[in-house]
Amino acid sequence: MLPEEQKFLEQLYREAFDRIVHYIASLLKSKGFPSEQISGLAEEIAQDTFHTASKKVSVLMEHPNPQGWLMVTAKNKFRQYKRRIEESSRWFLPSNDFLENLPDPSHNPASVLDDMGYTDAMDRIRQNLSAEDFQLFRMVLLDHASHKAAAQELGITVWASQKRLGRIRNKLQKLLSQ
Amino acid sequence: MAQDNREKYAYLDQLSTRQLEELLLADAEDTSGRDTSEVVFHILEVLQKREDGLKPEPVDVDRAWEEFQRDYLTPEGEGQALYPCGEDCPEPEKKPKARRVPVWKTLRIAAATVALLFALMVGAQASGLNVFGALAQWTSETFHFGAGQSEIQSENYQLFLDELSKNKISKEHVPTWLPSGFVASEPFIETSDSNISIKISFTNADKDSFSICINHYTSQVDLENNSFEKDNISVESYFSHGKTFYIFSNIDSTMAVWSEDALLEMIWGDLSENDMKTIIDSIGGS
Repeated sequence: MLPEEQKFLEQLYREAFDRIVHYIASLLKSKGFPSEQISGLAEEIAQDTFHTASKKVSVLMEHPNPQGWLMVTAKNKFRQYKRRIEESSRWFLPSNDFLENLPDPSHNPASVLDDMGYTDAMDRIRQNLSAEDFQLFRMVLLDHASHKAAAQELGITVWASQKRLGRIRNKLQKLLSQ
Repeated sequence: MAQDNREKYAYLDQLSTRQLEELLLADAEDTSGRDTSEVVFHILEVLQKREDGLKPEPVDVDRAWEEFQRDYLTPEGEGQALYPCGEDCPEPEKKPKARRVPVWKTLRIAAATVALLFALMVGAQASGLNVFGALAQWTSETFHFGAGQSEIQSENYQLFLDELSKNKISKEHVPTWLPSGFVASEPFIETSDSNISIKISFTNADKDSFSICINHYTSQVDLENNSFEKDNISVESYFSHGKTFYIFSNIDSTMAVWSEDALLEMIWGDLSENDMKTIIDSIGGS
């Protein structure tokens, strides 16, 4: 990055980062994401937005509304993130049999997860992932933590967390579609 | 600029927190890539002020910038994205495109700032919130009456009325005055799972044109998904014969929109404000 590009990016960052974080936080909150994860996730999506911006900074410098571009980019990242979480949660959707035969209200609530197949799915996942990979999977996809939080827990970089999670998702997609 | 935006979007302050959050979510689902940052940032300001009356703790930007450079802007992240936006990622352009999109096509495209809000506010109004009442401060007090030759009696306009009747849409929603010099095309009917659309267009010798379209949706939800493109001019609320039309400009044409239940009427094209209001005045009048 040229010095003037670096300077532009930093100035844009300082002007807009707070706004982008609060924008994403508002969307996450409206979608019911766990409150304890919202600020970390929102910051990370904002960081990733600026990371994307850093690759296009020479064009952004001549853009009529760089903050508008940042907002649209952040919005798209939020939307993709939400889709990814929804896709992952489908791995645990109850079977059709379960939906057609809802349990008797007197049924033990703890065993409902068994009936849904959730417990089986989680057991299969646990058996097919290393302990560290399972921890990463649970933190990011189930608990909705940021890659940064997961990376700090596991002593890796955010990019290593991202790549590792990509491999985990591919593996699980094949496993759970069988 | 911030003060201008506060005034421009002041009517949004009357929406509930939940409705403002719904507007943000609806905007987040908009895949058009249009820049709605002005209204989004205004809504955020309103929401932040409402949260216990105080703005939430601002982010420590110095700390965040340091983390950005240390943890994210690294060689390992080259060509990567933690949260890829795929095909939706907008490419920043040096200059905004000044393309002339057919207005009919424009109506099908999810739109800019106030247009999106309009569609969502129709839903809010239907659920009992007096959103449009809040916009009444913009109502024009100038009424225009006039007479002119028109295509009202033409065969094509009668076909248009016949199509409306076939689809049980009352002629009370249709203009009985049109500006002189324009010739009507054959009506155009388009059906989809969510609505039936009956449209007629008019052109004059100078190649000016305008159109009238009435959409009948299968449900209110489908109507709420409709949206319009609009540039940076205020919406004018215009009341006539029991209907409130909202008049706004769309790049280089004027548009007026009215909705009730599952009906949506749109009039748009190369029309002066006077002619637009005269057309509106002829709807439902004697």
